[in-house]
Amino acid sequence: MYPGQIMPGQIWGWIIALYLFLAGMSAGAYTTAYLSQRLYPHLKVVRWAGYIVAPPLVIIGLAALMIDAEAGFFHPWRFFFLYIGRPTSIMAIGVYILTLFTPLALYRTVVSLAEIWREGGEKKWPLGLDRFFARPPEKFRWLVEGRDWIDFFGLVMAAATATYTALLIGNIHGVPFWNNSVLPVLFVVSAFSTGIAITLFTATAWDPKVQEHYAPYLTLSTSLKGFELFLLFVLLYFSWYGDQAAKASVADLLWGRLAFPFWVLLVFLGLALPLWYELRERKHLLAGHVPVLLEGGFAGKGSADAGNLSARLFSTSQLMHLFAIAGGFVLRYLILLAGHFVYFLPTWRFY
Amino acid sequence: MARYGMLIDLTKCAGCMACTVSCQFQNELPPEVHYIKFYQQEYGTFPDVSLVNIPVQCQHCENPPCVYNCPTGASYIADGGVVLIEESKCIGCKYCMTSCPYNTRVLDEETHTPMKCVFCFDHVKEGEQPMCVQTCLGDARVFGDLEDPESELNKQINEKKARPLRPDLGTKPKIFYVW
Repeated sequence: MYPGQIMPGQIWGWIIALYLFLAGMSAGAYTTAYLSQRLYPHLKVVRWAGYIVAPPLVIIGLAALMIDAEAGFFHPWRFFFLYIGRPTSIMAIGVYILTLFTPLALYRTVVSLAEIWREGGEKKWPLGLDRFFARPPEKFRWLVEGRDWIDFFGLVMAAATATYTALLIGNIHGVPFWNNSVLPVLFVVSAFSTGIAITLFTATAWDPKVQEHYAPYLTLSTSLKGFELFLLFVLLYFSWYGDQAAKASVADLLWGRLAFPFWVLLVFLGLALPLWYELRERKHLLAGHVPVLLEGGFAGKGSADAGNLSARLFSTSQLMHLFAIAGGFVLRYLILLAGHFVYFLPTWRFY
Repeated sequence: MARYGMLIDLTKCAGCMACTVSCQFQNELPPEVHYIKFYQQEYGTFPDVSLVNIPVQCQHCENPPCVYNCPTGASYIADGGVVLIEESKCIGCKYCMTSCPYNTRVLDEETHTPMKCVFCFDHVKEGEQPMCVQTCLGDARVFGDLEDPESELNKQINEKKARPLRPDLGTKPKIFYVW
């Protein structure tokens, strides 16, 4: 950077990092819930947890975005131009995606609430929800019963949301550290990984016993975290051998002004520690479950063993999920802060 | 249709910043807000090295990323290829500010919208020169129509082999530098 020059991370600060993180995590939570619905339909708590946390996350993220866009915040009618102003802008495309994803996530929350109501013995619920769930108007039956194709459309929009959060900054040619092919993959993987973490965290808080069945989720989560570490390495490697400004970004992260949060908050606390703990937890769960699976189900001795295990791991595993979630935010914030604008003149050639 | 551009001869620029100050007067900017920012950069390989002052303002690119990325259409290309901002459409998302590789936009603290050099468009329409060109003590700045092959601007670009900053980014800036 040049002395006195404003950094990209000063233009877009922590609020935008929070928005990118929350939108991505919401998409990840929806995806986790959808996969759970398809692959492990008996794990209802995990499915409900994912579907219920997804909408508030993306809505809070959108609120953060609107607060950061102060001119729009004080003149809300200007947000209308997002739909008609320039439809080819990646941000406008993101607005279209979020306009679809948010109601789809909300719809699935209503379906999940109806499932929970039925599961809980169809008791009386506030706001007349019990009456709505029991006798939905003909036009709104889909909202209570659910429709597979709408769920799948929600999944597609969740994937689009996670991808968009990465392309939003990946599209900026003036910041070489952001403008590369690795970053979108890293952001999508991180979105999925944090989505699993928030879903498992919520599901554990809801019903600690469900932890007995976390092995497949932990397999996925640990794979994603390992992949995330690899992608981070690749991003730094290619940036170091790329543009001068990207090289400055790598130096900032590895040994410069962002080295402490990078190594301690992101690499150690946000990725490596949760990865190590989840691998350990997974190993214990698999050891407890394998014989039971061979017997054809989760019930029985293995389940009881795993129950003891869950009691022992309860607080620590949730803490690790929180670390992984915080790591997702730190990743985005650090990548925003580490961005450098290109140098105006090439320094490696003499004219 | 005219296509306005500018040449800045860095070998004539003393870094006096008269252009920056006159621009501030012209646009009634507070002292801390500059449309023309001055940067210094070393370049070359030892022993053939040099230090150059680079005055940087909106480059009025032909492929402006600020315009293409603006989600509301508030940033647009006006007559003469000048990039302008329609404040009444701007939500202040600052995407244009991060999109500009030349980092030339500044945020107006009152309206919360970005501002930048407009090539003194109102004056140019009246046949005058932009204020920075009128003020330059070293005669380092030349303004004109890039479409006119006989213009002083085109002659000097060709004679001095002027080049835009970072043409590799594909933005096709319309400010050409000699260094």
